Amino acid sequence: MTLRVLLVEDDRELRATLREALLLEGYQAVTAVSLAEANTIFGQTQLDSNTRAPMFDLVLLDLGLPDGDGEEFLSTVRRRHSTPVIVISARDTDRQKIGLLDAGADDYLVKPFSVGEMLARIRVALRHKGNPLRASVTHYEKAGVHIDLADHRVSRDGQSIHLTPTEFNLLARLVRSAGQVVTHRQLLADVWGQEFIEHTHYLRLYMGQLRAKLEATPAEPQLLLTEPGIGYRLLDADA
Amino acid sequence: MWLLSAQLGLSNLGLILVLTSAIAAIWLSVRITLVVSLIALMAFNWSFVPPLRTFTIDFHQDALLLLAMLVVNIIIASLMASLREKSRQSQAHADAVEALRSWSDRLRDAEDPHDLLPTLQALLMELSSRECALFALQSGLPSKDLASAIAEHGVIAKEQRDALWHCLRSGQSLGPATGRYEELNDLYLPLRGRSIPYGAAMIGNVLVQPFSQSIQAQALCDQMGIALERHHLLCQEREARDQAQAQSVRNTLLAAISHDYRTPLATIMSAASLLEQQDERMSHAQRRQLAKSIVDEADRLRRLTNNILQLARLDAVGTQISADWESAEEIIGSVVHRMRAHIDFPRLKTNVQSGLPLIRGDSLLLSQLLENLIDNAFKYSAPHYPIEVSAFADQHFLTIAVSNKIEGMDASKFEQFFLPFQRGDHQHAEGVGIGLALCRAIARAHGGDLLVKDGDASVRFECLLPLGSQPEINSEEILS
Repeated sequence: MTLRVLLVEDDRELRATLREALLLEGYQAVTAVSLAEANTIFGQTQLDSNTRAPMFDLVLLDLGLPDGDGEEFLSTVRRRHSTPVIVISARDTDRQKIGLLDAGADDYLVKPFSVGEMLARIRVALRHKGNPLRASVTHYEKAGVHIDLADHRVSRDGQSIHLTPTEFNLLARLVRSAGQVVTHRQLLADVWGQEFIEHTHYLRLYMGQLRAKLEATPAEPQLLLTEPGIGYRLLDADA
Repeated sequence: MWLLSAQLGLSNLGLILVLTSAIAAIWLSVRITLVVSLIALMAFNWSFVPPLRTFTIDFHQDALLLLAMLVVNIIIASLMASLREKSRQSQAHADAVEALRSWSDRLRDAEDPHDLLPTLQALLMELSSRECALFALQSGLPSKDLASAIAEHGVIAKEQRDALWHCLRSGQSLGPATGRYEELNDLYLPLRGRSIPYGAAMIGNVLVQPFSQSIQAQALCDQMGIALERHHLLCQEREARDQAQAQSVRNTLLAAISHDYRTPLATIMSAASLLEQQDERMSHAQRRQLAKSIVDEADRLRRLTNNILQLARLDAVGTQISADWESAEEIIGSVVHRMRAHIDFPRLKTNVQSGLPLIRGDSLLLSQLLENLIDNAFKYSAPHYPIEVSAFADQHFLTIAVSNKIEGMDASKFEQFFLPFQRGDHQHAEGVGIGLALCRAIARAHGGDLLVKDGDASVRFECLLPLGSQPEINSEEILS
């Protein structure tokens, strides 16, 4: 079945280019030029009349739209479905982007971005679809690092690695969203608790420790990637 | 009594009377002293002057004695009174001078003298023991009496406000004992600066109860006027400086844009138009090459645009960076990871001291700084030599350094790339100038600096970031 993508982008040229790229990749693309139009399209076609399945498998949402607030649209999308939302932001919409990621958007792209980057993000988001935290994901394997969440076992190049409980929780949270960005707030709230969401320095220190244990060269991480100003991303195991 | 009189004699007894009167004059007012002296004199006459128990005087010399004593008492009383008055006046004068001095100190130390207007109101009320009110101009004198142009303190009726405006515009006091509008009930004093007044104060109910300390009140007001004027001039100067700086940054940016945007745009334009028009005549490899140059040049434009926008933001007046705890290792890691996608892999080396302290900073800005330095190193380094990114800390600073070999170029040339932005001339503005100027602006916005060190055919950029006290971690398992 062809996967359907809703592309919300007001710039004509960019919309046409991205649409072309999505079609070439084999997706079906529906475009909207404003939030109002996106709301209408999404509201009218939420459920396919025949299959009762959601009409869209993924939403690409540009934040620089003339008619308003992406947050409202995100909650419309989220009200009934876990359709993945990837936010496209320019530098002046950075703050809004972080807000949307905290509110449950799945990933983001910063303008200008390459088509390859966009397609890779779409693939990861679709894999996570329907399971934002995929409790069932218990294994991660990449570049010599094995992580088994169920057995609480982590090893690198066959050598077992001891992690403290907090380090393990932090790593587990990243493994469940492997390939996707997890914001500072989300990590702090999930690992330490709501009252710690401003304590970014906890993350800096624990991520430093994790890298020292898991990465060959901690100063040039290959797995535990930093998204400056946003959060962290564990490299997708299939990338 | 009789015994005293027999022992001392009348004239000696008289001295006691003079003494009593002198002592009384030290504490009591002139009139009471005189009354007390007169009563004492009568009592003396009654008790000691023959015939005793009467007010009559038998002998001429006794009468003369009593008269002399009376005159001496009067002289003593008036001398003491004038002495006391003089000392009171000099004390009051000293108090007034002290009050003025401490007031002028407070005004000098105040960041904005407008904050002290309620204090001036309180001082005037204390001095006059009457209701006082005042207003001051927010900035310059408006052509009309606008309520928005002034800040009021105290209760002011409409006609009083009109009088205050009149006082402000004329720069002269009005009201009783000023020679102008003497029929007014209140006294109006201008807050005079050196050139124009900056406000006016009002002291209520002066017509009925005359107010003697208008000179002191005017002095307090004038101090405020001078402080307001100084503040006003400082504000004007700062505004002019900001404007000049904004203008100079704008000119530099425009020069840079017009110079640096043309080349990549021209490349993109020609490659894209070639693809559009000559597509069928080109080989697959040629088409790929053109597409790649479009991507590369677009990426150059992206970096340039980011740099220019960021520089304009940092140069905007009163910009605050959004600082959080950041790790230098992470920043270097993310920038190097991203740049490896575009650049010659083995040449870029990292050397990061382990266990570096955290810094307060904006990770996006610091990433941009490092990206610019690495980009710059690739542009200006001798080919095939490594480019090293290192980070280390001492007691006060964390240093992130990028060093590379250079060929056929004087390292000191880099220092001049910073200059356009400092001097406000824009002849040297080039892409590299924007990039480096931004790096320095970012380092300085973090309370640090960017230094260029040249050595043996090599150049090294050092970004110094200040280290503060480290954040607390409430966990026993950290650093396990």
